[in-house]
Amino acid sequence: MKRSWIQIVVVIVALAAIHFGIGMTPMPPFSSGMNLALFFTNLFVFYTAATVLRQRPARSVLLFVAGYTALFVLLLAVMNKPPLFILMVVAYAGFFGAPVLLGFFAIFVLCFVILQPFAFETFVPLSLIYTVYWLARGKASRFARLCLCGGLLALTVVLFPLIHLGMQDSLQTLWRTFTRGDVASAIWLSMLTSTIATVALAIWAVPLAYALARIDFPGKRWVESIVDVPILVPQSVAGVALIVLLGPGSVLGSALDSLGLPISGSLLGIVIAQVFVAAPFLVKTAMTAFEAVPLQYELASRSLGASPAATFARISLPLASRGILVGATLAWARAVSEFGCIVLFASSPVTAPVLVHTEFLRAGASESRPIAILLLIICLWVFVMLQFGQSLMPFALRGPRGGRRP
Amino acid sequence: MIEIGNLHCTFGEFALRDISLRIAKGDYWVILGPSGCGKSVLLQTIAGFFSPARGKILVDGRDVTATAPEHRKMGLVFQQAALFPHKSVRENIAYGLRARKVAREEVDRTVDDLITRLELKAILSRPVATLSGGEAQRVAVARALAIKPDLLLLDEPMSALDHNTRLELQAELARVHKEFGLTTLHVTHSREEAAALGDHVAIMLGGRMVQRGSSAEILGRPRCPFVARFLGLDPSSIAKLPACAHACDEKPGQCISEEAS
Repeated sequence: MKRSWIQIVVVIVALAAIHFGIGMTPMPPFSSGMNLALFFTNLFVFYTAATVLRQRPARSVLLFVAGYTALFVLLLAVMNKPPLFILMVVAYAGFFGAPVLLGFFAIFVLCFVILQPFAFETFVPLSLIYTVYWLARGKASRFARLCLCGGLLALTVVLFPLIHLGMQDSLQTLWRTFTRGDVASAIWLSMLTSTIATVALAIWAVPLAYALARIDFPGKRWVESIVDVPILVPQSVAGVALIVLLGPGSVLGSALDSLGLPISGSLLGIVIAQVFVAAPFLVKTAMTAFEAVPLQYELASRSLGASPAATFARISLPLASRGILVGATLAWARAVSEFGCIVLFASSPVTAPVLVHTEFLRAGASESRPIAILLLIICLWVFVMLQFGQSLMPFALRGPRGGRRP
Repeated sequence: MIEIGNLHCTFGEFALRDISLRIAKGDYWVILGPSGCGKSVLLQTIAGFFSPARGKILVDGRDVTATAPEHRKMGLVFQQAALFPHKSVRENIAYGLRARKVAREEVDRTVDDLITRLELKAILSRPVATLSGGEAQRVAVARALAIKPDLLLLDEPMSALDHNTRLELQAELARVHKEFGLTTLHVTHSREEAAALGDHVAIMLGGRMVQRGSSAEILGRPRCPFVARFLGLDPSSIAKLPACAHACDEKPGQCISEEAS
């Protein structure tokens, strides 16, 4: 007891001596008032260090000192902002007892001091990732958590342009852009054609996916690869291919024209292009969904008297519906985002991605930016809603058992 | 009366060979055999999911060999109950009747009757996914019974259950069989199940049916050392059996099927 009193007195005297020494230098870096404030700050830091860290190992004392040094170097030596330093150090010392808060504090300093121009768009994802890391404590190994959060961090970096873009324009600008006739009609057109394309796609892709999931035939792997071809083909190539087959002057194009179904200037061309690029996403996802439905359910259904078609409608389709909806969502998202193929093959009426492009060519990034943000927000919103909708669908959760082991 | 005559069915490497069985109305047959002997495949062939290369399946003299599964009246129960997870217990039981477009009142009447007789009332409101293995299996039996099948096919119905539940379900199946008088074909690899339930037992090895008869006769007097070992007889009585000329450890079922033919 007596020794610790001596230690405390020694430290206070030493701190006072250091600050007095700084104040006595020929060109003191702080005013004497600031020096006094810094002295009391350091006293507080020492107090917390002494109380909080008394039961903690030496390692955390080192960590504490390291954090303090970092703040000192950053805010005093480099940025020379003593008031900010005092604020931060007091917060730091206060938070050190609670590691969660300390983590958020570190992220706060990182985002709002170092990454200042991107303060908000870095702070939100980093805090979320950190929260995930903390919530997963005790549920996963440290390695798994590091994998998760490292991956999320990398994902944030990849998606950062979009996050940053979303922060650019005020709501007023966005609303003004949205009420511009051509922007609204382009966005609605994109939504409408993508929805039509997804429905048109589902009509044949879902049965095909079912067949691929259930029937084994020679060359099945080839068929599965062919389904993926639209992913492989560059969009411009797809556009040219569609023009050659259906474009103005081609046999099929003129035939459709004479039937009153013109490709150019109508929705038909856009929908065709969207179906082309979106098809693999639905087929592949739906196929996986059907494969996950245990065959025994279908055998049971048929032996109970349901025909193959009835079995499909009552058993396989409902149980695969969640996966099919995932696939339809992906296909829809792909259709909305399609640009390269449509700009070549069906550039009028103008869809939203094409409008972003033409506005960029006409007036540069600042003019096309609000349209891009609007498109981003609306697509994300629909995407999130569709993802949410999946949770309402039935799901063959427990495999064919239909019950857990007692 | 179900008659299976000289059934042959090939699946790549594996084949069912020369399966014959005559199941009188109301009989309880157990097909006993190790895993991979083809007993489940035989059951699914009888249910109509595989078409045999040769042979016939007759139901009351009617040839159903080429009939689609949904037009045969075979009640199939799997090892894992395979209850439809998106339907309620009641909808599961009613499924076969609804699929056969039976009038709603009659569906309700039949389902209510089954629920009472199989004592399922307590689990009626539970989601299918939360049923225990034994409960799920009882619902699966009710679902198969609802269509009043010509033949109830049980494909290892108790293999996924723990010991106590197995004994309970065994008693339940015996009771149901007695009460409904249903012709039943039960496939298992458990000698205990066969002894407890079967009036008649057939033993399958390597895609062949090597012995069949009353359960006392088959389980008590195996004709070949391989069968005896499978049935778990003690070594001294196995040693007393005549040695097998055909090395049936390598080609199980070879000896007896040749002898029988």
